[in-house]
Amino acid sequence: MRLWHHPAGSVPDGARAGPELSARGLSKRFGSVTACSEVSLDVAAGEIVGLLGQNGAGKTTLMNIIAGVERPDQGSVTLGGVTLPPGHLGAARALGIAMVHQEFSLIDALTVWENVALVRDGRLSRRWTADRIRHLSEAFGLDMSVHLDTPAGQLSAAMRQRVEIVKCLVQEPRLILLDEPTAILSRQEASRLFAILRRLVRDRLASVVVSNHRLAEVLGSTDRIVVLRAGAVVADLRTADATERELAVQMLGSDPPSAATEKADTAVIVGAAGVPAPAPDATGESRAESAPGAGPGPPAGPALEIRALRARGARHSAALDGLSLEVGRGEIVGLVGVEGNGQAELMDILGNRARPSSGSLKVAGRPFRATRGQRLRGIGIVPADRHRHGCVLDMTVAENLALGGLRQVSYGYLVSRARMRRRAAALIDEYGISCPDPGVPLRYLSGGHQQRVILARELSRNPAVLVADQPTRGLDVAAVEDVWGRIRDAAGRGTGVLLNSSDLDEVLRLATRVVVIVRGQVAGEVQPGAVNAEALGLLMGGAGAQWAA
Amino acid sequence: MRSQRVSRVILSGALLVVAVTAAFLLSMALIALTGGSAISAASAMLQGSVESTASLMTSLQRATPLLLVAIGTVVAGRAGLINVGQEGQVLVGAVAGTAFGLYVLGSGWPGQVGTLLAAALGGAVWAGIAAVLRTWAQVNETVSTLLLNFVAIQLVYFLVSQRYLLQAPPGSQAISRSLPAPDDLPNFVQGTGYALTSGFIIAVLLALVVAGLLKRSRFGFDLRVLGLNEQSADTFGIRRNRVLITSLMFSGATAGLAGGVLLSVSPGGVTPTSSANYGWDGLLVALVANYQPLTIIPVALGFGIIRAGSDFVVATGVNATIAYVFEGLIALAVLLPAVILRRQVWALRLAGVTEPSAEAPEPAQPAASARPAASSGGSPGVSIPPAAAETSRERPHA
Repeated sequence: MRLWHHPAGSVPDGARAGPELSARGLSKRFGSVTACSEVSLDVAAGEIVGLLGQNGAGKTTLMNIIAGVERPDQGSVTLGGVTLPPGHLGAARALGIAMVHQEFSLIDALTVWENVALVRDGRLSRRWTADRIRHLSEAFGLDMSVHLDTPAGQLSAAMRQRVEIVKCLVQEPRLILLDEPTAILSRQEASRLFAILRRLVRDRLASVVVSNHRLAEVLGSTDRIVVLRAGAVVADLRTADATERELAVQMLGSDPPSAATEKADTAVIVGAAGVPAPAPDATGESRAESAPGAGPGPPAGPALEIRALRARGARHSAALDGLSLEVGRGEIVGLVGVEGNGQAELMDILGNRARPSSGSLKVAGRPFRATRGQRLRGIGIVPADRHRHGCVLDMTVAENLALGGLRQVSYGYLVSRARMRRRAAALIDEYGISCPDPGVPLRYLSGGHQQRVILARELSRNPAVLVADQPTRGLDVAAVEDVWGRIRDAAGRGTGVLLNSSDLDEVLRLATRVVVIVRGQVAGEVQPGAVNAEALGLLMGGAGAQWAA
Repeated sequence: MRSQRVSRVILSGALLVVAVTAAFLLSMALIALTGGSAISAASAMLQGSVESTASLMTSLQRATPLLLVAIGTVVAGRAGLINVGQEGQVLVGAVAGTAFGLYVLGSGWPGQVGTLLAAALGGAVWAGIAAVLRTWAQVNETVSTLLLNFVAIQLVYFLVSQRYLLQAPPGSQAISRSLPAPDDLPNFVQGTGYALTSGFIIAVLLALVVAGLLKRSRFGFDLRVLGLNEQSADTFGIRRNRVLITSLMFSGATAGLAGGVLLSVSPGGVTPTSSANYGWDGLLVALVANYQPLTIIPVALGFGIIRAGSDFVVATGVNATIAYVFEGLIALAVLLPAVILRRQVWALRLAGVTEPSAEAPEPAQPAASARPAASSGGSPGVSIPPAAAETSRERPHA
C-alpha cells in the first residue's frame, strides 16, 4: 500500500547519489553558550539515526536547526539535494521535514482532529482528517482509540504523543525528527513507537532522526548512532558495532558511573522487601538516630498506609477503585503500570492536588485530612511535573528551598533572609547543588540541579514517607545517579519511599518491592529480583489494562 | 553579566530621554497645529507643575490618589491577579466615604478618619465581589473587575440622584450633597499655606510598608509564589483562596481610599465622574513601574506632575483633549524603553533556557514568561487590556 507519494530517496530531477539529509558545519550560539559547534550530520534514505547525548549536548538545537525552527549561525542543511533556507520553518515543512518536539505542540483547547488538521494548510475538513487519521493509524498499527472530538487537553500523555505522531505523518514527510519521544512512554509504548519508525524506513517512506538519552533504547531501535557532547559530534557509528559501555563513555567523556552501564534486565536487588537497605555512606548511622516522622512522640505504624482509596478519574484514565497500599519504613515501593491506570490520580491525591472520594490515608500512623491549603505533614513530594508543581522557577534557589516550610526560616511573621540563606547554603553544600549563589533564580539551574533542589527541600524535613513521581524523567546520567543515591539514602534512614515511574529499569533498580497498578487497583506484587523488565511489562499490559478505558 | 546589565541601564536611560523628548515635541506640534501657541503651552505646563512651590504641591496632591491606587494594583498583580476595576473602586470608595460623612459622622478629626476608612471599606467590598466570583465560580477577575466599573457608575448615579439618599438639594441633577466640613486632611506644613495634604505622606508610607511586607512577610512570600506559579500552591500548602481574596480586596481598599482622599481634594459632592480617571491612571502607574512597589512612588509623582501641568495648560485656553493626548504620549514614551528592553531580555533568556535544561520537560509558564529576567522578583507580566487602554483615553471632562 502506498501511503504517500514522495518517499525518501526519490529525487525530483534526475538521478542523484548521496545522502538524503546532509547538514554541514552547523554552529549555533546562545549568548555565551555554544549549543552546536561545527556539527555535520548525514542521513541516508531509509535510515534511522539516533542522536545520543546528555542534557545540553545540543541534540534539540541540532534538530531545531534542521527543522527550520532555529536559524544557525553557520552551516547549511540540504534535503534530497535541495538546500534549505536557514531558519525557515515553512520551507523545511514544504520540503517534507516534520518534527515531533519533546514538549508537545498540541493546542489544548482544540480537538484531536482539529490539531491534526492544523498542519494541512487550509484544509479544515473533519471528514477528510478523520479518514486520514484512520488510514494512518491502521497502516501503522497506531492505537488511536480516542474520540476525535476530545479536546487535546484531556488526553493522557501517551495519547498526546500518538496524536503528535499522526500530526507528523499527515504531512507525508520524507524526514522525521523526534526529540526524546520516549521520555514519557512505558516500555511497551516505546517499542510500539519504534515499530512504527521501523515500518516508515522499511517502506522507504521516510528517514528518521531520533534523539534519546537512554542507551538501551538507542541501541535497540536505530541503524546508526551519532553521539553529541557539548555541542560537537564525538562519535558516529553503526548501531551494530556499538556497545553500551562504549557509547556511555563517548556520551560522558569519561568512564561513566555504574548506573549508566548496568543492564537493567538483570534487575539489581537493592534490599529485600520490607527490610531497610543499608545506607551506603558512613553518615547513615548518625542520621538514623533522628527518627523520621517529624512529629512528637515515637511514630507508629507503617510510613504510608492507603486503604480502599477511591477517586473519580480525570482525563481519560481509570479512577482509583479501592486501592490499598502500604509502604513500610525504609522500604522503597515501586509503583508500575500502563499509563492511565490511576497512578496520576494517586499522585495528585498524595501531592495535595486532588481529593479522594472515599478511603483513608495514614502517614506514620496518623490519619491525614487532605484539605486544600494544608501541607500534608510527614510527607515529602517530588512531583512528576516539577516545574509546575514542585518549584517556582522565578524565585531564587534559597526561596525555593524554603517553600512549604517558611516557619523554619522565619522570626514570627517575618521571613528572615539571613536564616533562609544560611539554610540554603547548608543544603546546597550537602546536596551538591551547582549554583553560583543561593540568590540566583532557580530557572538558571540545569534540570538535574533543579531536581536536586526539590529533593534537598523535601528530604531535609525528614519525612516519614517520600513520594517520588518520575524523579529522574528528563535528567542526564549523572543527575539520575545522584537522585537514586539520595532516594536510597533516605530509605536507609528509615523513610518509606513510594516511587512512581514509567521507567521500569528505574523501578527494578531501586525498589525493594514492586506493586503493579491496573485500573485503579493493586493487581499484584512482585519482587524486583524475581522478574525481569520484559516479563513485568507484559504483566502490566496482560492484566487487561488499557488506557482508553 | 554585570557589564551587560550596566549597558542595559544606560541604553534604557537613553531610550527614555529620546522617547520622552519625542512625545513632548509631538504634543507641542499638535498644539501648534490646532492653533495654539506651543511655547506658551510649554511654559504653562511647567508653571502648573513644578515652577513654584504652590504648583509642586498641586503635583503632590494629584500624585496621592495615583499612588494609592497603584499600591493595591501592585499587590494584586504580584498575586497574579489582573485588577482593572480601580476606576469603579475609586468611585465606590468616594460615595461610601460621602455616605459615612453625611449619615454617621462628618465633622472633625474622627469624621475625617472615619470617612477615609469607610471609603477604603467601600472599595474593598466592591473588589470583593470580583474576588468571591473568582474563588467560588472561577470567573476571570479581569473581566469581572472591568465590568464592575460600569456597574459602579450606574450605582453611584442612582445613589446621587435620589433625594432620600445622597442627592444634593433642589435644582441639582446627579450630584451628592457636600460633606459638612470639606476641610483638608491635617496639613503637615502648617503656615506655608500650601495644600500638601497628609494623604501623600500616608500614601508613601503605605507603599514602603507594602514593599516590605511583600518581600519579607510570610503572607507576601505566599502571595508571590501564587503569582509566579499558581499551580504549585497546593504542594506548598498555600491557602490559595485566602491569598487571592485578601490581595484583591486590599487592591480595592487602596483604590477606595484614593476615592476618599479625592473627597477632600475636590469638595463639592460626588458625581458619577468623580473618579476622574484616577483609577485608570493609577493602574497605568503600576504598569509603568513594572509592578515594583518602590518604583511606583517616583512614577506616581511623575504622573502627578503631568496631571497638574496639563490641567494648567487647559486653563490657558488649549483644547483640553490635547492635554490628554499629551498625557497618553508621555505614558507611552515611558513604557516604550521597557518594552523594547524586555524583548531583548526575552531573547537572552530563551537562549539561556534552551541549553541548560533543553531536554527537561518545560511546561509553559505564561505568567513567568512575560517577566523580565533581570529583576529577581519582577512583575507577573501584565499588559494593559485594550479596553482599559481605550477607556483611559476617553477622559470625561472633570
